[in-house]
Amino acid sequence: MQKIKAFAPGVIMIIVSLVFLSQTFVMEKASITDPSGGSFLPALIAIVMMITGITVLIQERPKKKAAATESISHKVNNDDTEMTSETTSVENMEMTMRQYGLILTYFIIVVLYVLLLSFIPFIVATFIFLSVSMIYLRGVSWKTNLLVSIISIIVIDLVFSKLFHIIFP
Amino acid sequence: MEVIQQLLVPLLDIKLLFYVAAGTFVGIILGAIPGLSVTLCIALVLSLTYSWDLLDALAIMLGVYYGGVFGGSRAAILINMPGGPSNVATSFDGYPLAQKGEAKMALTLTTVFSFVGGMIGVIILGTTAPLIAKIAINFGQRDYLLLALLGLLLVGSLSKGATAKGIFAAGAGILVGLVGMDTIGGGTRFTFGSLQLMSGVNFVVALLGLFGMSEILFQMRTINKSGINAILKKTAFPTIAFFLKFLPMSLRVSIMGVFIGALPGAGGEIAALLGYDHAKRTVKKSNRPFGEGSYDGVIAPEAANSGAIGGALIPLLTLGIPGDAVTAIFIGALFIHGLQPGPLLMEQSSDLFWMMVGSSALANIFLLIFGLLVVSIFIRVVTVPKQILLPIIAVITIIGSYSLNNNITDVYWMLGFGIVGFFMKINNFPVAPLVLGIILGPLVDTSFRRAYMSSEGAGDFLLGFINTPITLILSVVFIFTLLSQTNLFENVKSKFKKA
Repeated sequence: MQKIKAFAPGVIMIIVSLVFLSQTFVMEKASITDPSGGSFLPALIAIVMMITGITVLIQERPKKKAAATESISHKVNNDDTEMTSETTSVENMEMTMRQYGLILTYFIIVVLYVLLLSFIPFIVATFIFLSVSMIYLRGVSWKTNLLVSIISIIVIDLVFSKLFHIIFP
Repeated sequence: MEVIQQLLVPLLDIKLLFYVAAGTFVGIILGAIPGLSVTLCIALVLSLTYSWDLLDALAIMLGVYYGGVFGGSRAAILINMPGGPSNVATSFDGYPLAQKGEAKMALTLTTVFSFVGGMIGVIILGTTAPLIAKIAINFGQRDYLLLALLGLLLVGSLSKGATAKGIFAAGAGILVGLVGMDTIGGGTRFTFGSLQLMSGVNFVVALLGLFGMSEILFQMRTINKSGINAILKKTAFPTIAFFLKFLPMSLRVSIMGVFIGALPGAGGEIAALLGYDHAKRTVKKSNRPFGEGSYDGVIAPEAANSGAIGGALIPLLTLGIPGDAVTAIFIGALFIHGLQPGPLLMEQSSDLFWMMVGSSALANIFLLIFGLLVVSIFIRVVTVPKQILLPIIAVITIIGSYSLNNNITDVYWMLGFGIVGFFMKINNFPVAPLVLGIILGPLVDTSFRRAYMSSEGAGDFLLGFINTPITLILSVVFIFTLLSQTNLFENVKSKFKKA
């Protein structure tokens, strides 16, 4: 898992660069060998991007090796310490996974709110979104939740529709 | 005489006066909220003022810029959580002062000397920008290409320890900026056969996603941490003589801040840290040692970062290159209204330039007024729980992206950029070069191709980089900057140090 995490950025960078580079070959009315054409500079940039991806991959490699060596010596030297260190590491990973879960679930709530905007009025959808958000994120009493949701909608409606003349979805 | 008239426009026009005041106030409040960056605030304001008159939009944006940078110092002093990177140095002595019961003194000093720094920045902007523009009027396509690349490179260099990722982000930004119709060749680029992509990617949508939605998601990591309390004790207002004691040092760091701010890629953050360092080295008799509640320690970074705003506006208005992500948004605002930032802007729309100078001065005056009068409100602002704040910001970000074209598709694009920005942040990819790339991409592309078309073959094109003094200087600066980011340069530097 750690290995994948360390190499992922570099690999993604190379994939993204390749996608862009492949697109420069199929551009209309542009020759990749002509510097004044529309695809020469994008191709050049895509190649530079690919080089940076390879650089990141190489940069991550020694770190990995060093970490592995450190981990082995740690294990040999003291089994108890190794156990403690491993437990801490697992806890950190759990924590990170929990954070990921919280963040991605909240992102889904935001997407659902945007989808909802196509079906129900903006004010109703926003009220539901704000209330659900505060319930999901915890730490806010239901009274405060209700008060903040109502006041926010009134202020948003007044400021954006009256001052900024914005038409809501 | 004409210049003075144009300078006074924001003061005499009630509407502009109101917009600058409102922008400054909103900027101070939003800037005081830890985690809400000035860039996000400006991006939101740009999206909401998309269809406004340019002068009105710029007036409110400038107010938010000055107010936002200043507002960050409130949280740095009261709860030791800088509102933005520019205010990190302020917390070194600001928070110890607050702990000693002198929060009000720290808030007053930072307000007064932010005003001093800001005004110095405005004065230098007003005096030097027209001179630089006169030189820059002779710039050719190669010079613009070099300037744009230099701007991208310097911002990339700020991505500490992640230069490769910074360059990648800038490159990706340029390519995203080129999506759509090729204005020179007539073909389409990176549209993947989609008709919706023919008109390109709206950079405001990208900004809202990369700075707004991604920040909301990023802040979620610390959502369950317990709230922080801040206390503000009443203290007497200092005398004029007391303020005058700090004036020489504040003037020095303000001027320093302006010049650092004018360097593309270096912004208020570096200005504040260098200003703090300068004060630490030069002030012999401070009230307390630095780091333990020194008055000079809160004055220096705030004067420097306010001065840096005026400095950042110099390359923006004279050369058309952004000093940082915020000024990149200003460039975007000018593009939206059909204006090309750069020396020609100063020639053809000097009224706009002087109006911006006047609005900046006015924003500083409002900053002083609001900063001194509205103090207790900051205690409430800086301690608002994220559980309340983040959903509200999410709604505003969605409204902002929808309001651009009254189209829900823009909201989906914004969400897409938001998730990209979030993963960039957690993997240590700097977001600012991506945004700069999106904005500067078309400029890089057109100036490169036009420069090539005007030369006779590759040899002549390359020779063009050393043909004129301006291009030669820019080429040398570009090569030096490029080399300075390599390990080779670091090795040479360490060898020289040893010798």
